[in-house]
Parts: sequence; structure tokens; C-alpha cells
Amino acid sequence: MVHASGKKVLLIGWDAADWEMIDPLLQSGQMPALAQLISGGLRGNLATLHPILSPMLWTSIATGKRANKHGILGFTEPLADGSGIGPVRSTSRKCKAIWNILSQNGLKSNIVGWFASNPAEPINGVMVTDQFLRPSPNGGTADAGPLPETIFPSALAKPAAALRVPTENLMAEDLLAFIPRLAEIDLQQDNRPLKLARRLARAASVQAIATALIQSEPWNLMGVYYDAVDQFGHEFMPYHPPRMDDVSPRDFELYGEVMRGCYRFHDMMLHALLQYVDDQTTVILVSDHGYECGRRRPPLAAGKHDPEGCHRPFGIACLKGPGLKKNDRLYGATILDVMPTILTLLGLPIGSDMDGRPWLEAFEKPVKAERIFSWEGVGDDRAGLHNEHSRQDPVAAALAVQQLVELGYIAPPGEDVRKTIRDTVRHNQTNLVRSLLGTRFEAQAIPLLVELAAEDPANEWYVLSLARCHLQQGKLAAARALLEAAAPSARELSQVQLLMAELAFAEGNSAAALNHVQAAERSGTPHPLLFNQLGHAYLKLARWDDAVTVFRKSLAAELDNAAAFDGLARASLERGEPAVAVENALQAVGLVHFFPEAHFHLGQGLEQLGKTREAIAAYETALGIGAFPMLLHRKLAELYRPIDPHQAAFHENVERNSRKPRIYQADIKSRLPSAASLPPSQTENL
Amino acid sequence: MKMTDDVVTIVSGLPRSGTSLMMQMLQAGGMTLLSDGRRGPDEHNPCGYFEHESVKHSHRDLSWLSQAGGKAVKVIHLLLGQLPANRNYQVIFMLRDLDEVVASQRAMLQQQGLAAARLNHTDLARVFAQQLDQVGHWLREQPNFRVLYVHHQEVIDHSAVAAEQINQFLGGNLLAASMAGAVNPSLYRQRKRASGTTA
Repeated sequence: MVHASGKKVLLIGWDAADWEMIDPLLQSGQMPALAQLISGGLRGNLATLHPILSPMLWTSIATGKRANKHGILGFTEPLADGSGIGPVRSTSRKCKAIWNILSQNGLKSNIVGWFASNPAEPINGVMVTDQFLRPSPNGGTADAGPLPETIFPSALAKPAAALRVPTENLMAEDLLAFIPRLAEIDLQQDNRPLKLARRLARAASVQAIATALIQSEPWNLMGVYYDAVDQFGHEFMPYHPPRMDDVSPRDFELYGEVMRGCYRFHDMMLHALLQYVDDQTTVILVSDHGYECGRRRPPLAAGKHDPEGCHRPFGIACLKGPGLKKNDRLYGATILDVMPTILTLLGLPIGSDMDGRPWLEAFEKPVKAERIFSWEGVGDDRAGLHNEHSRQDPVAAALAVQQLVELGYIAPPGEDVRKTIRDTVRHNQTNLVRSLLGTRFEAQAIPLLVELAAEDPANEWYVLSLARCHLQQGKLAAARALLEAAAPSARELSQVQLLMAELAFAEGNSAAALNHVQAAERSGTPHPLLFNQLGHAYLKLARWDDAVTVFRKSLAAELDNAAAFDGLARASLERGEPAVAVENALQAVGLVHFFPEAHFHLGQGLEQLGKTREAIAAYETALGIGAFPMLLHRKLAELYRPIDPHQAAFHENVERNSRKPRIYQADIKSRLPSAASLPPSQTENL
Repeated sequence: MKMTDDVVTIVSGLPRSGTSLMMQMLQAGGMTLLSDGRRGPDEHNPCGYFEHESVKHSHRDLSWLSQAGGKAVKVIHLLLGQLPANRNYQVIFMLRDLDEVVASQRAMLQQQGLAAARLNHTDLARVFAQQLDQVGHWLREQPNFRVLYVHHQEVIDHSAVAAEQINQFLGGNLLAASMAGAVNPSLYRQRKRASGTTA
């Protein structure tokens, strides 16, 4: 595949944008630019990753990799000299971002405001980092010069700084679209309008710089990130209708329009950017996660203390461009797919070490995405990476400095600083663990959890997660030891009871498992996750009706709930209702494409309905994303046999070969004669 | 920014890279050291550490610099960046095999009953290598720093040659033979064996 240097992609990021907010605005004609984008292209949900924290997620979007591979683990990290903590830095990223890969292929990127992009990498193009847009420590006026590391090339620092919009330049009229009754507010007593103005100024700065660069600097990829929807949400979503119990009627009247105003403002900014692209440019708009805007919003105070609790697991995706379908839907997309899709659009191969997939179904004509083993370690000298000396693991750096403190060569920082560093390291390690749980890399979480639990043995989450990991890895004795060592009060928790149930299942004790499941149901607070776990426990006990009941409860609590749909599909199959199973499995894979079990259940339902070709497609998808290979090859061989004997033979062979005992490399080496025992002419190739 | 006249001689490097040995050589050669003697000799540095406690607090107090003109003072690599740009410095930067440095640090921590970093040997050596790269990169960009990199192994194996090089770097007024005589190879522990392990 040869890339076409003339192809262009405009990637726009709206942090936390959510269809639940957008759709009513679209229907009432208040977001015309987005409406046009959707009608000319595709839209869909974009599944996020856990933990739902923006620096990790936007780095996953830019790299196509999970946090265990990209290394960005939170908002802050220890400073390399051990003197404190600071905003997470691009030097901590362990893999290439899209702009590095494009650089090494001679393509230009202009990137504005991307999370965790500071210090600016010397890419082929322009990098204006998130820190360039932050107010400077000495007051934050536009006159204050930007730090040199916040923009590349540095020659653009002055002209770009001149485009930043200082908060004090905003007029009261600028806020009226968000707070129509601004005049009624005493700004000495209520600083919320000022907070709004700060967020607005930052978004306006991003827009001004992006609008300038899109015209003045050549690009193949223009990436623009806006954090305002999320930032506005954390301050003003509680005032959005319907009024929440802990919001006063007056605050509701004054600030109830802010969020809708925020989305309208973004639509205007989108409209402005679209004026500078032609119809040969692909436009992709994504958000990293959604944001609760309805009845599941946390109370006002709780929302500020637990920002992640406001985030929904589905963001938005829409794309429009030459060769893409129009007025269509995108299903099963995740944030990991954005980068592979852009590579495919620009005619570049995907790294096999990337965790996402290109949205091939979005193309009007079949497209084959090419793959290479990895982009890492290839063409690094042209990739616009930081120098090797500046790329580092901040936690390792802090630990090394701590050793020098212990040795007495550096004065120890104050206890408050040391505690802050310790807390940051632990918080980021916890985020890494959370990013691993439930993935095929889960075993990597065990040593991290052992360390975290040793440091903080009172933390139940560490202990329960460790028990769950042991259970998943088949280490039943280790899991039981941890659970039985838990305090009696903790053992009453529904989560612990469900773990005990899973353990009992694994040990083959169904009666004990049922007792634990029923105890969990009695003690648990209603939550979709708990319902889903209960449902799976009932499935294991072959209590199909009970499973259906709790999965329905789960969906009543959270409709975008792929696990519940899949649970219903599985229960429906067992109850002999394949059509219902297909319907639910389709819902599940529509929400989360990377869900092999749901594809498998879809295949089973279709097979039972006699839809052989559709069942084959579902099984092949499940196989492609790594589920039950032996079973699927056997199923595919059976289905293909009457319609395509060649394919049937292929799957039979694979299935037969996979049953043969494997000879590992270590065994081969052990069977080779040692080099010393061979004549010299035979040792050259060893 | 006004430059002051008295050049400060800095002995720098990773802890356990031979900085104390170098201080000892400079003292034997006739150079005055800025050291408060608070950290006395021990099993790891039988001749002493030649440190000045205030240097470790340079991030908040640089008053020790007023006494440092014309003298030699030990400043570990990570603290070089704290030094103000209104003075001139000549830096003898000690380099030592990183496996030996890590092994020596671990031995010292173990002997003192202190906890080593929760990093394995390789990862710790990698971090130290990055730190050295960063410091080296920074030093190259500082017009008021002259730097002589000295390999610990060279000092041990060819002390006379090393002493002469250092003397020339510092202006040629020291007693190079005395400097070389201050080197005691028997104190060279955690030496890397041919097999790659450290003793």
C-alpha cells in the first residue's frame, strides 16, 4: 500500500461529548454543522476504556493502544528530580502517536491542545501542546510568553501566543448565550460566571490557533482537541434540566442553559473549521467518553469529588469523507479504533501491536487494511520523537531519586511533598491496574496489586481485585486465602459474596455458589454492574429465568449496557428463543464491537434460525477478535462443509493442528546438539 | 546578570561513581575543598565523603556558593541544575560502569539497613543512564560550565595519567604526583568481573 500525500484528515476531539445531550439539540436544529456532518457520513457510539480519565483516553486515541502500552497513567506524575509532581508529560509516553508515524512517512500533522502532549515533540508539522494553552503562572495574560517547550516549531511561539484569548478580553455579552440572566448575578459573591469565562477563553484560544494553522500550515492530519464540554460539565451539568434535588430553583434558572450553550458554541466552532476543508478531506469527530446529563447525574457535591463518576462509558463518533458511507451508522467502535482508521484513510499500514481496528465497514467499497508488525523501533530518526535522553518513566525516575535521598546525597523533600509523590505514584499504578482488569493482559495486574495491597492492606479494592485476578488465572487457593482473610464486615459485601460464588463455581461446588449469589442479591445496592454479575452467576447455575430477571433490571438501570444484552442473549439461547437471542446479541455488539462472546452468541442464534451465512460472519468476527478458537474453527468447519468444502477443510485442519501437542522453542533448543559438539562449518548459522 | 570572577570547581557524578575519590585527589594535589566534614568516614568511604551539607539544599539556599570561589565542592549530578548562571564553573564529572554504581549503592543501603528503590538492577541502571544523558545535554548548553569527564576505571588503572589530565584541566597548579598517590586501588570494590557480575 502506498500512502497518498495529498489525503487529509481533520480530527476533532470534544472531550466528554455525549449523544444524549446532542440528539435533542440536533432535533431542534441547534447544531446545524454537526447535523450536516452526520447526514453526509456516519455516526455511532464510541466505547471508552477504564478508568475513564481523559489523559489516558486521549493518548489511547492518538496511539491506538491501551494504557499498559502507552504509559500515560493519570493527570499528574512525579517530577523527574523528585521535588514534587506536575502535569503528565509526553516524555512519559512509551509508544508512537499518530503524528510520529505520519512524520516518519513524510506526512504533516498540525496538532492543537492534545492531552499529555507537552513538551512539544519535534514532528513534521506543528505541535501546540495543552500546556501552551494554560494560563502562565505569572498571571495568565496573553502578553506572558509561552514556555519554549510548549510549542514546536518555536518560531511559531509568538504568533500563536498572540492568538490566545485572555479571559479578561471576554465581554459580558460573550457569556449571555450561556447565562442569559447574567445581569442578575452578583459577581463578587458568585464566581461561577468567571469560571465559565475561563473555560470559554481557553476553548476560544484553541479555536483561534487551530483556525490559523488550518489555513497557514500544510497538513495531512489536523488534530484539534477541546476540553470545554468536560470542563463545563464538571461545573455546570448539575444545573442542566431536569432540576436535581440538591440544586436550588434560582441556580437552576440562572445556569440551566449553560450546557446547551456549550454544545451550540462547539457547533459554531465546528462550522468555522469546516469552512477550511474541501470535500476531499475526511472529517472525524470523536469524544473520549460521555457525560451523565439525566437522572444518573451524581449529586452536586459528589460530582466534584468524584469527576469520573459523571462520565458515561460511551462517547460519540462521526466521520464524513470521500469513499465513506453516507447517512449511515457505525457500530461497535471504540476509542482504540480512531488511530488505525486514520492510518487506513491515509494509506498507511496498521501496527499489529495496536489494540484497535480500522472502521472498514465505514467505507463504501471494500478496503483491505495492511498490517506491519509494529511501528515501534522503525524509522525513529524521522518520527519527530523526543530525544532518548528526555523520554523516561516518571515513576522509575522518582524511585531512583528516592534511593539517592536514602543514601544521603540529596536532601529529602518535605513530608507533604513525599506524601504527594507517593499518592500520585499509587494513584497512577491503580489506574494501570484498572486499565488491565477485564482485558487479556489481566495477569500483568497481579504483581502490581500485590505491591499495592502490601502498601495499603486496609484497601478492600486492592484485595478484592487481587482475589478476582487470581480467580481468573485459575489460582483458586490464592483467591480463597485472600477472601477468607477479609474482615467479617467486608465478607458481607455483595462484591465479596459474588467472588465467593465465582470461586465456588470454579471449585465445582454449585450449592455453595447459589448460597453466595443469593446472599449477594440480598445485600447489594441496585447497580447495573451488580445485576450483570448476578445474572452471570444465575447463568452458571442454569437458572435462566432468574438470569433474565436481573439482566432486565440491569438494563432498566443503564440502557447502554452491552454485558446485560449479551447475558439476555445467552439466556434466550438456553430458553430456546434464538430470535430474541439474536436481537439482544446485536444490541451488545452494536455497543461494544470488541466483545467476542456476544459475537459468538449472535452466531449461535443465527445458526439456530438457519441463517448459515450470517452465522458464519458472526463466528468469523468472534474468531478474529480472539474468542474460543478451537470451538469456532469446529463450528465454522461444520457450517462451511455443505457450501464451501475448501473453507471447511481449512477450519478442520486448523482445529486438528491446534489439538496437537506444541513444541516450544525451549524444547527445540534442548534437542539441538551443542555448538561445541559440531564441526566449525555447521556452527555458523546457529 | 553579572559574572563573578572566582571559578568554582565542582566534582560531580552519580553517587558511588568516585566523586569522593576525586575530592581526595584534589585535596592531595593542594586544592582547598569546601566541605563541612559532617559526614565522616565509614566502611564505604574510609577517607570520608568530603561533602558540604548545604549543597544538598541548593534548591532553596545557595548561600554556600559565596564560600566556594577557588575551591572544590562536591555536587551530585542532579543538583547541577540548581547552580546559578552568574558564576563560572569547572566540572570534573566522574563516570563509572553503571552496574558497579548500582551494586555499590545497594551494598551501601544494605549495610545501613535502608530500603533500596523498588526497581530491579537493570531498570535502575537505565534511569541513571537517562539522568546522565539529561545532565550531559544540559551541561553542553551552559556557556559558564567547562566539563572534564573522568572515568573511574582510568583513575584506578592509570592514576598518574588521570591526575595529570585533571591538573591540566584545572590550570596546572596542582601536585599531580600527590594526586595520583592518593588513589588506593584496594578501595575499588564492586568491580565488574569479566563475566559481567560485580564483586
